[in-house]
Amino acid sequence: MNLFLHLAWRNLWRNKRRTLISTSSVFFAVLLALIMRSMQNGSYDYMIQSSVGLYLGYIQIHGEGYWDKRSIDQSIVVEAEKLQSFASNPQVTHVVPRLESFVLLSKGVSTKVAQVIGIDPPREDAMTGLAHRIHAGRFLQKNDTGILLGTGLAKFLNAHCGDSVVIYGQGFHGVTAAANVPVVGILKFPLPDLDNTMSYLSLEYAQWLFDAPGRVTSVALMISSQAQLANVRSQIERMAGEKTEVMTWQEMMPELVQSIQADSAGGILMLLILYIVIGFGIFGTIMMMTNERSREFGVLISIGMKRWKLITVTVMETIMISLLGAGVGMVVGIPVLWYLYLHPIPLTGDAAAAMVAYGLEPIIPFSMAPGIFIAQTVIVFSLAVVCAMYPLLVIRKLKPVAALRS
Amino acid sequence: MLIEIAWKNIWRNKKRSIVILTAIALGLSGGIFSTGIMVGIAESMVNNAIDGDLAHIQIHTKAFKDNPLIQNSIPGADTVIQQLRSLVGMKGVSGRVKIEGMASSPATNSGVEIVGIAPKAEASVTSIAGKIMEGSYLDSSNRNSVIIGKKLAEKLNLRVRSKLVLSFAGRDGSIIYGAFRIAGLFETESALFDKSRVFALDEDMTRLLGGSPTVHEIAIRLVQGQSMPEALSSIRSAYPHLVVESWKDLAPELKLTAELTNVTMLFFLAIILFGLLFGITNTMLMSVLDRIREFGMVMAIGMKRKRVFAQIILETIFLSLSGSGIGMALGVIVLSITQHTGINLSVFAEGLSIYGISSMLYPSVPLELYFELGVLIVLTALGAAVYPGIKATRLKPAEAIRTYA
Repeated sequence: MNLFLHLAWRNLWRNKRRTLISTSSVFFAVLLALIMRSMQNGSYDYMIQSSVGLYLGYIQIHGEGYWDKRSIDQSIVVEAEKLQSFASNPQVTHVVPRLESFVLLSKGVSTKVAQVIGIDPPREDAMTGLAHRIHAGRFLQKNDTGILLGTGLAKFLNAHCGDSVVIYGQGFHGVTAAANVPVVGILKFPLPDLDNTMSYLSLEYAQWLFDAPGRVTSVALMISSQAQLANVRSQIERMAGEKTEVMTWQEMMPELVQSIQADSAGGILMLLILYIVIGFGIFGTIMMMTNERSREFGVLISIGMKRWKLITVTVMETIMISLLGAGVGMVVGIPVLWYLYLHPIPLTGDAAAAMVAYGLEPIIPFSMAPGIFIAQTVIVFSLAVVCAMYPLLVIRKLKPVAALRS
Repeated sequence: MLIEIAWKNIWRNKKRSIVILTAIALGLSGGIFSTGIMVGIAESMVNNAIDGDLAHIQIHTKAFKDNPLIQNSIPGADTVIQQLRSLVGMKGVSGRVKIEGMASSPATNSGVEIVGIAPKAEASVTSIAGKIMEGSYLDSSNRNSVIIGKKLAEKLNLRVRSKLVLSFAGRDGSIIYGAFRIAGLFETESALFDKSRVFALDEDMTRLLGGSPTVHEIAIRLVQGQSMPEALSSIRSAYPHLVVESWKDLAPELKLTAELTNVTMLFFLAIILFGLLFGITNTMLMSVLDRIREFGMVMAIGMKRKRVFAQIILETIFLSLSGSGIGMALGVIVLSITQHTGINLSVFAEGLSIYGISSMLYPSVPLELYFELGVLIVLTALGAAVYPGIKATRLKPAEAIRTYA
């Protein structure tokens, strides 16, 4: 085996320039593919992270049919013991109960529709880091009777800490929910969508306001790893009891999952085209290498060299050319991507405005998921195997006598 | 004569030339087709936004742009609308009342944007009248009716003819409740629009708000989108106290998407060509090395090095252009077929609806792109020819003739 490797390596460098050109084409393709996929996957992770980590959680438990209707009438009673039992699952890291509704908030002549969420302040902060988003004033405490507003919302209402705002809404089973609540804190969110619509009450106060004692509309769960999602979900489903629905983030946001798939499909299509082009380049090189050596092959076979040995050497050559390029691509790509992974590129100007308009922070995040690197290696390796079919077929069918005379 | 020789030389090693020709053809046709798809998506986004909601030009007061309160309405809006209608090149002008509020049903409630419109005027500006899936479009004679998105209706658990309560703050900040009946349900390409928009009659809104007719927004549809700059400047000079904006100002993200797509795709095509550059260089290099003796010979009998170089450049250009010709032809054929049939992306419909993209996609490639691509191809060919060309001209005739490769 060692001898074959040695021979193959030497054969590669019989025409240095040609090998270098082919290898650099693979290098170029791999580097480009790495950067592109890392960027795409980074933004998907980021999109998922912003909705899952900042708000949604990996799994949510609702009353049956709540997610479609978002009605407070589909709220459920979840006892403290139940929450405890969810938390006792070793994979579950956070259990966050919430009572959510849409209300009208007004101060003076300004009125705005807002989403109000009754939260358990310490639990909410532990999962979403909400307390760190306080821009002015203070965070909520347990049994707090104050309200937190997003900066956009506060600006619209011209409300500051210490001012009072009026909440109008619909409570449990249609009762009118209205109250005058002091603003205790202003939250700054990176996304204008949240900034303009979110407001928070303490869970207890929200339950009182909406006349829903002990009730929550959702319980959000964070788990230790995405890989355990299906597993944990079925365990939680058994615990949750009747008249409830247990949904994963993919089920709650099918549009996000689909838009990621569509975008990813587009990226894969482009890389496929690039790899086809590169693949033909390798094929051309291999073809030339094979053709110009047909005499040599003829001699070797006629003096008794086994065809399979020749085939092994040529296949190795092909694989070496491609993997060499891929390897250098990785060596150059990994540090670059690692740097970009730690320092996402900030966007400015129109592009930044566009990202914000689509509800994303204006940065280009990168991913270091091992899958990206494995995928490129597998693709390049398969390209090499396909290209190696040519010398394989040529050598199998080679007639030594004819080859000697060519 | 050089041209003929160059052309014939390409076909001396058919297998080699065909491999590289196939690579060029596949790369370019694939590149053109994916460009078609991406540009088609961008156009779909822009057109859906203009057709569905934005229109070409919108007018607001400065105060409303800063703070969308009810009282920040356009003074003398009726006169302004009449004057705008008399301008040339206007397809439609629609005045809209815009209020944020809450839509409630017995089942639940949801935050919405209430848009009060004159049905006929709005239909001349946006395509909302044609997006009604169930029931019918608004009718001025049918008081207290609304149309809402199908998605919102599902959430509120309402059907056509169901009752819907809209609540919003009046001029003095007090909450106004109004009971409406759903005349129809619409479904557009945008999920967000369908979830958040309620259209009511402007007269009903005026009555509920009390007092004189209120218009917060005037939306203008031009007969031809290209006449936008002139229309903008004439409207701006006529109403200096109002904020007159094109859809590009209103939705900079769409403008950017539309502009960036072409650039991005040209960049992508350039990358494909760069990938091809390696293959072409290698092919030409081999072709030169095969003919070392031949080049030595022709140089020995007096062919100028310049002409040898020119011949290699010509060969490379011919090779690249033949491949590109086939590739472009293939790309255009695939494009024109899919432009007729459309590409069904309904598997991704929900995901696309976040961005307001139709699930039936018609790829499109701007004509300039072909020219830009042509320039890039020639540049690639020149780039690929340089190294093999230099290699050939550096040959020493005496040594080259004696080379037996």
